[in-house]
Amino acid sequence: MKHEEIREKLLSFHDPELPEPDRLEIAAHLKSCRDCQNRLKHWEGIQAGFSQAAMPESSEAFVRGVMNGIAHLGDAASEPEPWFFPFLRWLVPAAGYAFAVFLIFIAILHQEPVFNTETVLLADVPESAQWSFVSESPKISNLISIKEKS
Amino acid sequence: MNHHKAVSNEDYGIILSILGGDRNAYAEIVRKYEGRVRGYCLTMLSDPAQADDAAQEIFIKAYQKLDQYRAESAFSTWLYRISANHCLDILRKTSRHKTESWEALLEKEGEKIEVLLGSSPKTGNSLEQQDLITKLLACLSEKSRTMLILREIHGLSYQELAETLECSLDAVKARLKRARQEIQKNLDTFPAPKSSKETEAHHEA
Repeated sequence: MKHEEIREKLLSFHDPELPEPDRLEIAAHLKSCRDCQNRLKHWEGIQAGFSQAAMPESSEAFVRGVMNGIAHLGDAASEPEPWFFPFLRWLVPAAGYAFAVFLIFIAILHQEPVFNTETVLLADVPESAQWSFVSESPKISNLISIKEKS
Repeated sequence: MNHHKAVSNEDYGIILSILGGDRNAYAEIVRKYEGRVRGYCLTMLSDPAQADDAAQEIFIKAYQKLDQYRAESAFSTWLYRISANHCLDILRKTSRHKTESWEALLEKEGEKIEVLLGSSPKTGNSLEQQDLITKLLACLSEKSRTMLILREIHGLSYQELAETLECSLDAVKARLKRARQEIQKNLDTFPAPKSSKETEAHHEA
């Protein structure tokens, strides 16, 4: 193996799964390669750091917590469902929709006549004082005669 | 630190009695494996309270799926598989992929990291070291973190890793190599620990 190939396998040097011929070849290379020696030593330091990771101490409270959780699971599974429970899944939304349709129906039946703005504004004004809106535009000749008179 | 061989007769007997209706027998399983599962959750999630909650959920999930356990692999491997998937789900939901950047961590904890990487296994405050290891791992990608925790801390073999992560042996080798290179590259700024002879020579000088 060349230096680069050995570098690639160097971090698995201590893995029991590494084939023995590979390990021997790496070991032989390590004797003469300072770069690989440093790299391996650096990795061994990291591995030693990881090996200091302690597992949490056993806790009976944790065990109780799990067993309580399981007991609640069991209770939920063993309690019989009320007879009406399956119906509630569709009965409640169905009742809601029916009520909404009922309200719309009532609203349509009691529909009041629509007021227009003019009717509302002129409701309590005497007829003589009422304005009427003329849709046609005044004729030019009429306007000229009014101006001449004035 | 390799505790995971084929399913033990003891585990198998307990599992059979649980499946037979003895729910309380599951407490034995929880007692036996809680350290590993809680330890895994802690290093994956970096939050002790969240880790304990996750570990409880994992044991409850394992109990619910116990009838699906086929004893083709060790019970611990099966439990690690549930743990790995559960922790990844939590990380995805909370989007807490990386808690701190390498640069920030190295700047803040550089000296401690140097001590950790260069110390002999019995020195230092174990809680502080645990916290530091958790922080170092939190800076890695989820996949690299999973690989390194299972291999370097929990000591799973290639075969057990393949069963836990449901992938081929070749994929395990490739992922493990990538994870190791990732952490080594990030810790490259720290010198390799000196051997005892070098340390003695240094003190004498």
